[in-house]
Order: sequence, then structure tokens, then C-alpha cells
Amino acid sequence: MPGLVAKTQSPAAAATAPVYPASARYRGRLIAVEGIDGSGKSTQLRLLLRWLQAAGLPVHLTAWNSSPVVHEATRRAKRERSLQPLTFSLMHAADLADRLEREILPRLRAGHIVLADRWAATAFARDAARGCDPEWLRRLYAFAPRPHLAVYFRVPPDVAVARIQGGRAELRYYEAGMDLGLSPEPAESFRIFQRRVAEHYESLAAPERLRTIDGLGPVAVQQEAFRHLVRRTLRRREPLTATDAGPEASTGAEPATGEWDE
Amino acid sequence: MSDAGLSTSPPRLQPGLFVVLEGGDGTGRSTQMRLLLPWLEENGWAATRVGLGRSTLLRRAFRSYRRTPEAGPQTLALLYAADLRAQVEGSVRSDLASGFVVIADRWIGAARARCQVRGVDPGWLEAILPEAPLPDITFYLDADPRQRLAREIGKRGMPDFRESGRDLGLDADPLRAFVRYQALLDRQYARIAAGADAHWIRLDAGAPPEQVQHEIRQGLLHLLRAPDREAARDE
Repeated sequence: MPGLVAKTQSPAAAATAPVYPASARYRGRLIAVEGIDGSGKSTQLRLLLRWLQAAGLPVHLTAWNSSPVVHEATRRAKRERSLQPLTFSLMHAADLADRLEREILPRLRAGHIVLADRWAATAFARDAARGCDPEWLRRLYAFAPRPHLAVYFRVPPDVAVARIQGGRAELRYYEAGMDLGLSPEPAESFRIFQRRVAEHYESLAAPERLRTIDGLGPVAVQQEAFRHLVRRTLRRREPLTATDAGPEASTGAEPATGEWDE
Repeated sequence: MSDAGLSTSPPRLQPGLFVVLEGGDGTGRSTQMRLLLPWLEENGWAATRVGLGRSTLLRRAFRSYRRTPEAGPQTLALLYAADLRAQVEGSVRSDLASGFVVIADRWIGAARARCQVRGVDPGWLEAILPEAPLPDITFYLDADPRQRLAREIGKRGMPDFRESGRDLGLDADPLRAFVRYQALLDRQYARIAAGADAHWIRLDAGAPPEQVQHEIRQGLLHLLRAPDREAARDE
């Protein structure tokens, strides 16, 4: 299993065959976008996808909370407003684990590019804003490899809130953080919650090695900055020639999948 | 958040009683559950039932997981963790506080065994599984896997894909795979038992069901009639 922090490993762990090879180096590239709702990250990722597709590269986009195994349960729970923060957190982790095991890792092993709309930092920021212990969250997501490139689209929370409210009639219960009892008024609750999440993102930028792009700039300018970062990440990706789809052997080169512990 | 270590036993006194039945497939757990619940109520102890994979929240997710042979072990571990926590928060904690006898048809032990057999890191597993409440008593039903195969086939015909460990590629033949997989589970249970305390009771599930039931009832009577529990209930 990649990325398990050393201190969680018991002697018994060493005797168990890991599901994924430790410090596996995948030939593909994992690129993630992060940011609060309304930061424009999904738009930027879609433009990136078009660009990579046009270049004829094998590329795949995966979105948060889209696992067919977990999605229906999460949707129902949200509708019934019955989710406790820890359970909520575990279900999001299950969503990522399922996409990782069936959708993402096979492509990375085969040398493809995977674009992820949100990765673990989303859980770190949102769930911590819901009161989950940050240390517990880090251990929970120890199964997730660190992206080769993670870009944080930074916008002031009030701007993001205005963008969302302009384009959407009604705020959803959990999206607005209504479960936290911040305010009986959805719009106000949403503003307070997004500010909290944004604060967490800011403190995550350095430890999670997030590259920051100013989400207030023109879309095309942001996209140019994004493509510049992606070009550098892809330069280190091996050409698609080898037939071996397994994780690369250790070569001492730039680590492809890092670990969550520093 | 601390590990739910098996060897540590924090004070267990709560008005209710948390009883767990563990054991591989075909050990007769459901028969024992069926016999136990009415007996408890006849004797005046209100009983509720929970179990691994039984939360309403995750029911659909497990169904979907079962139908997806490529779905992996870390997903399973996280679904179990969410499922157990949903039941703890939804009913177990409050039922125990109200003085109910809560009976679990498999709990953390089965989640551990099934995930560790599939290579999930034990340290990570402990970090995500709920650390409380600890069972007041666990009855582990132990029987020879070949005997269990006969029972399982009588009950539902062909063994389930994952309950015969076919996702692990143990054997192309489902029946042989079942026996091999169940033996692997037993080995995981043996490791759990080795780290467990006196609250873990191994029962020979190869014995007639009435006898197994008798032993479970004796164990429960001992706990239910303990003076300190009576005192806790009266508070």
C-alpha cells in the first residue's frame, strides 16, 4: 500500500503482503486540482483535458464522489441529512479508494495521465472544517498516493461564494455546511463554511506541496500558467513504449508517487 | 484518535451489554442469533441486533460492492469502517446507554479478518475502525472449514464469490477455494484471539447448535447477573 506513514506500521504489517508495492513509481502522471467551491478549478481542468486530448495523449478525468460503488449511498445519506462527520469522511475516503483501485491506478500503471478533480487535500480541508482531527484524516488517507502535480486555485471565499450563488438557485445542505449549525440562513452558513475551508487550504499548501494559481485572473491566463506546470510534470513522464504495465523499478529518479509523511 | 487495541480493556461498565458473535461463514451464527434473541427477551432483557454490513446507510454500497468483482480491499475496509461507525453513532451507543443488550452478528473481528486476508495494512485498519464501544463479550464460533462448506451449501447453494476467496485467486474450483479461504480467515481470527483478553470466548461450532446455544447463554447469564452490572443499571 503506498504512502502508509511509517509509524502506523506494526511488526505484523511487515508480514502481510501489501496491496500495492511500497513507494511504487508509476509510469503515468497524476495531476490534481484543489480549491473551494467556485474557485474555477473544474473549468481549468476541463480546458487542460481538451488540450491533452488534442495532443493525442492518453488522458482520463476522475471526479470527487463519483465511484459507482459508494455514490448512491452518499447521495441518500445527504438527502436524509443523517451523516456524522466521521462517517461522512470515511465514505469520501471509500469513494477515492474505489476510484483509485479500479480507475486510477490501472491507468497510472499503464502510463496514462489521470486528471483528478479534487484529491486528498479536499478531504483534509473540508473534514477538518467539520471538526475531524487532522492527524486522523492524514492516517485515513495514507492509502492515497501523492499527485505528481497538485494545483490549488486560490480565490477569496467571498468571490467564490458570489460565483456559486450567481449560477445556482439553491445551496445544498452539506455544501453550505448547514450540518454545522453555523447559521440558520443557508447563504450565511455557506460563506462562513467556505471561509473555514479556505483557511485550511491555505495552511495545507506548503505541507501538501500545492502549486498555487491565482483564481481571480482571466481564465486563459490561469490556463496558461496551469499548462506551464503540466508541461514540466509531463516532461518527466516516460514515453509510452514499454509493454510492462507494472510500477517502475526504483531508479533513484524523481519519485512518481510520493508518501504523505514528510 | 487512539487505536482500538485488543489487549487494552478500559472500564466496560455501562448499563447495557455489548455481545458479539464472530466466526467464519457456515459456523451457524444466524442460528445462534435466532435462538438467542427470544430467550433474552423472555428473561426480561431487551435486545437489539446489529452486525457488520447491516447499517442502512451502507447497505446499497455493500450490494454494489458484492456485484463488482474488481472492487478492491481498501475500499472494503473503508466501507466497513463507515458501516460500523454509522451503527455505533446511530444506535449502539444509545442502546447501551439505555441498558439494552446489543448483539452483533459479526463486528470488528470479521472486518479485520476479511481485510487482512486481502493484504490491507493492519495499522491503517486499526486507525480507521471505530475504537469504541468494546464488546463486553465475544463468542467466537470455530469449526472445521470442510464442515462449514456442507452447511453453507445447504443454506445458499454455491458459495459467494468473495466468501470463497475467489477474488484472491485461491483455487479455480469454488468449493476447494471456499475451504482454503475460510482456513485463511481462521488464521486471522487466531491472531485476533491471541491478542484478546478473557472476554473472547472460543466455542466449538462443530457441536450441536443447542449445545453451542447453552454455552452462550451460560456466558451471558454470568455477565448479566454480575453484581457490579446490576449496580450500574440501578444508577
